[in-house]
Parts: sequence; structure tokens; C-alpha cells
Amino acid sequence: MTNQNLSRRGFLKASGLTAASAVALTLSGLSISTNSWAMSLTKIDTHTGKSLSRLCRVLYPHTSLDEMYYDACVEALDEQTKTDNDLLTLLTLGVKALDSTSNSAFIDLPSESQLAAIKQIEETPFFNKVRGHVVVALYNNEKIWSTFGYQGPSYPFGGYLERGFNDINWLPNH
Amino acid sequence: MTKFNLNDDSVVVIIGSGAGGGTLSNELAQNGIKVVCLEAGKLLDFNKDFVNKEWEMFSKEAWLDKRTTSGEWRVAKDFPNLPAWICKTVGGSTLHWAGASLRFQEHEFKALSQYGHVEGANLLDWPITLKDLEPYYDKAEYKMGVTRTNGIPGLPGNNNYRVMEAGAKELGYKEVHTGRMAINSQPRDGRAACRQLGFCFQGCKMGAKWSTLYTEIPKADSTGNFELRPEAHVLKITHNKAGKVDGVVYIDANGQQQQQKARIVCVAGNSIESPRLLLNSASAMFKNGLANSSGQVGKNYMRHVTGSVYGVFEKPVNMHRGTTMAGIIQDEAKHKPSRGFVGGYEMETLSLGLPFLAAFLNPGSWGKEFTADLDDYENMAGMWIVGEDLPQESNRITLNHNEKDQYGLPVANVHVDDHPNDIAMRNHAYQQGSAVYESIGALRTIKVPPYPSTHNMGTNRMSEKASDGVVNKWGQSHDIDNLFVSDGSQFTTSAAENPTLTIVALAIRQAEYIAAQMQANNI
Repeated sequence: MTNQNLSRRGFLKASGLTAASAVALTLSGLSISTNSWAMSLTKIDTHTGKSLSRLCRVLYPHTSLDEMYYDACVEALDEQTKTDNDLLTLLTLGVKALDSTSNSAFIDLPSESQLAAIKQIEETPFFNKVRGHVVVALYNNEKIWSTFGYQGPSYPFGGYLERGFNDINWLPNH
Repeated sequence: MTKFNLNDDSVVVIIGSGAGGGTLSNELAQNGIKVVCLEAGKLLDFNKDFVNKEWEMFSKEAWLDKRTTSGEWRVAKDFPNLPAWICKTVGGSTLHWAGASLRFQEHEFKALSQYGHVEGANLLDWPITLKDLEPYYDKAEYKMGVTRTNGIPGLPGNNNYRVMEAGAKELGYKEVHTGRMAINSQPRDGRAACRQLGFCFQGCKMGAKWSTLYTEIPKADSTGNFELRPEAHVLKITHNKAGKVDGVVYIDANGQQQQQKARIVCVAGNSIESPRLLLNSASAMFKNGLANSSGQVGKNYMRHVTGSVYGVFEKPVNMHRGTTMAGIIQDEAKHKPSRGFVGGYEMETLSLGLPFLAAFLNPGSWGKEFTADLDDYENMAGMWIVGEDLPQESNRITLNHNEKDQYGLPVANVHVDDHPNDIAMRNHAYQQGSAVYESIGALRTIKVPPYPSTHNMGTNRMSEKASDGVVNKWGQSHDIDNLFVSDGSQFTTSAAENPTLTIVALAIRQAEYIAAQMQANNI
């Protein structure tokens, strides 16, 4: 597992891709099954990382999206903690606070209880930081765009003038 | 490539290179007048540096220096340090504007006499009329290559427009078309025709949309009378003992403080930075800031009554394909007080990519209901409301002495509370916008709150009397005759139309005046 991750990350480094777009490999045919994917974190501990990834999903749930896209959001946070110790503390303590909202750890709670736990911390700086981060990091991941029907950059393809800019065909006639 | 000496006190210094400053620079330079243009932002190459990615371009082009906010407006809660979404680049906000180029209507120059006194509003008539500005609108439209003027054909309607048009016709709206746009529908002025890329807000990578970055600035440069200094951040305008401005102090691209002497100074930093600069230039002689004997500098901040409506349909729309502002409904732009408010509003198509839509659809929102909307991205059509908002003295730019910028100067605080008229208009527009989409079978509509302001106006307003405003009908300050304001902050009222065309028309007109006054040795 570790070796696999190392070599994958080595490849990513060599190809200049960011952690958030690691998922590119899956879509480009270099298949990584969900099981063999593991978040690669340097500063954030595993429990905190997994809890954050779950938090990201409960905040912005899309059944069409695999865990790896939420994990990628956490990896990007981990990257920031390398130069921001306060952030690391905020995230670690934030997950602790989430864990202490009931008798079970947040990650082990049934989904309805996870929602209830989040609502208890909704006004905290921890929540605002994570939410503000995910809403940008998740939807800015170009590998999820096609799932939503968003086509991304058009300049490399000559725009939409000959690629359906006015192809709508279901409007009432006038 | 011309260079002027820092001690050359014969130059006109223009602060800002956007619609106002960029246009004024070129107009003066063409007239043989020596111009030094100081631009706080970087010089980007539209073909090399622009990318079709929303957040990446945002970080390249947006003004991100710290600002603070206060007031009841929702932006203060969701984006407390980003009251406005405007650019810090050579070309200013002409990089990310959508291109809509509409003339103000006759009655909008006479808001006070046409609407009457409105409680809580600081309405005033402009000191100029539509008739005064018409010849300059003609010149601006020609310069910018506005579609549906000068024989230039309109742009073709994209999917997002076709949805709005179908709904508008169903409702009986008559003034519906693909807009008057400063986007080439055919090659013109050495620039390409639009290929419906989308990404108008990210800077037009084809150069099909007019921007001073690749029109006015290089044209000014070719006269030999013009020097552009990018990454030159002006801290203060200085004056002599006689109370005339005589230069500016700025930080150059290497972080060094410099002083440029000047015969005339023109401020065109948009409606937040322009008043901030005048206020930060306070001196023993002008204790409340330059040009501020009226106390109106920074007041009457306007941002238009805005908001968006998205319609979600059963089948795909693909609103992201093609120009961002692809068409307009103008029927509601008239002054019809029977609707319960004064002034009017335009409805203009608008599309955001998935990354921006997630951030702006309902800022701060999360959970299943929110993501269900995003799951329908492909089936959405969108429009933006642009309506006249009322000037209020309490909506204003002030110096926040508790927060300093990278140069140690107080940052701007932007305070906004909606006037009841603004709220009534926005609600009417939400209702009509929703009806447009519902009339052709929208499953649901989403009413989106205003984004950080892209239209910023009114904080150094034009007035007949010196006691009512900051500048006269030429944009010349009432107090100091060689100090001008050359951007949208000189607007007396906001009107219902996108501001850029009017900023350009005023700059062309101001250039003529400055040239004549210099010729006559009055300034």
C-alpha cells in the first residue's frame, strides 16, 4: 500500500500534477480502484484526515462522486498545514470537538447523527474554514466537471461556435 | 516605450488604466498631451496569461488588497473582505467585464426631478443631460465596436439566451435581443471575432471583447506621448502652497517609493480606491481629504440593485457555452412607479462555470438541498438583474484606521444598507425573472443574492453646485481645478445600465475639455 502510494505520488510529482488532481489518473485510464486509494497526509493524522474527508462529503454530498475527490480536498488542506501550524491545530481540535458531540467518534456515527453533530459546530471558525475550503477545492477539481455537464476550458477547442453554443432543441416554437 | 522624468511637471498623471483611465490616456495622448499612467496592477498578455479557468484567473486579475465591510448587505457576511469583484491589472475591470454597452436613458440623468424626493435617498440631477452625452456615446460605441451600432451586427444567441428569449416572449416582453455588446461579432479594429468561448469574466483570450489592455493602452503607447507604469501603487496626491495638485507619491514595481510631478492629476481607480486615495491625501490645507469641501467624497456609494435568477429545466441548457452576457430584456428598464419603486432594471443572461456557481449560488450554504441544485448544473439557465439603486449618504467608503494595507495606509471600509426602494425593485425582478423561466416549464427557480459588487459608482459624484458633490460636469473637482475624477465614481446616480459605456463616453468628453483648458492655459 505504502509503496503503491509512493510510486503514484512519485509519478504525480514527475508529471507536475497537484495533489487535488491526483484523481486524473483514474479517469485517464491508469485505473486505481477505490480500495487502493489512500489519502496521503504529512501533517494531519489519519483519524483527523478521515474525519475531515467525511465532513467534506456531508457538507457537499454528491452520490456521483467517489471518496477520492473528498480525500483530495483534505490533501490540499494538509498541504496548507505544512506552512500553517495554526491551521493544523484548528483542524485537529475541530475534529476532536466533532467527536465529542456524542459518545461515538464522528466517523463512526450513522449519517443522520453526523449531520446533527455538524449542526452543533456550525458557527465555529473550524467549520467556516473547512466549508470555505471545500466549496472551492471540490468544485474546482476539473476531474469532476464532466459529471455535472460542465465542459471546462473551451479555448483549446476553438470555443463553442461550432460546438453547440446554440444547439438547444426543446424550446417552445415562436 | 516613451519615458518621462519624475521631475517633469508638464505631464498629466492618470491613476488607473481601466475604462476611464485607459480611455482618457489614449484620448489625451492622441491629442499630443504627455501622459504618465500609473497602474497598481500587473501587465498581463491576453493571449499568454489568460486561461479559461475561473479561480485561476480570479487570483490573477482580481483586486485582493484588503478591504473591510459593514452594513446590512449580505456581502458583508459572506465576503467580509471582498466587497467588490473588480480587477487589479493593466486594463482594470475591462478585463473581466461582460461587454454590455447600454446608453443611459434621458430620465435617468434627472433622477431627482423625475422621481421626486425619496425619503432616505440623496438623489440629485446630473449636471449634464443625455443630449450633452450623445455625441460622446457615438464616439464610445464606435471606439469599442458595440454591436447593433455603427452597422455592426448583433451576436448570435446562445443556449442561455434562447431560453431567456423564449420565456420573455411567452410573457409578452417586446424588447428582447442579444444586446449591445462591445464584443466583435466580426473582425474589427485588428481584433478577432467572438468564437463563443464563454469565460468573458476571465478576460477574453481572443481579444474579441473590448478591453483597454489591448486597445487604448497600445494605441496611446504608439503616439510617443504616453508612458505606462504597471505595478505603480499610488499612496498620495500632493499639492503646492497655492492648493493646486502638483504630483503623486507611489510605490513602484521594485517596491521603491517615488514621486512623479504633474501638471494635472486624474483619478480613475474605481469607486472604492478613488475616494480612498482622495481621503488618504489629506493635508494641513485639506484636512478632510482632497476635493472634499462638500464632505461628499466617499458618500453615495452605489452598486446597482442586483441579484440573479437561475431556472432549472428538465432537459439540458448548457448555459456555459458562449458569451456570458448573451442577451437582454429591457421592458422593465423604464421608470414606472406603479410597480412600487422608482427607476427600472434590466435582465441580462449570465452564466457561471461550476466552480464559481458553487461559491456564489448561495454563499455559506451546504447540505443536500444545495448540492441537488448543483447536480442540475447542465439543465440551468441564468440571468442577472441590473437595476438603478438609490444614492444614500450613509452608503459610503471610509478609511478604516484599524486596518492597514501593505504600505501602512488605512484600508477602505465599504458600508451598504439597501434602501427600501432597492429591496422592492429586487423582489420585483426576482419575481419577473422567475416568471420568465416558469413560463416555459422551469421545474424550479433559484433566487441568488448579489455577488461582491462588479458595478461600483457614485463616491465622487458630479454636481452643479460645489456643495452637493465632488466634481463638476467635466469631472473636474470643484475645489482644485487641476484635479479630475475619470471613472464611475463621478456618476451622480447609477441608472439601470451597466456603467462602462458611460465611463468611456465621459472620459472622451473629459479629454476634450482637459485639452482645451490646457491650450487656454487655464490649468
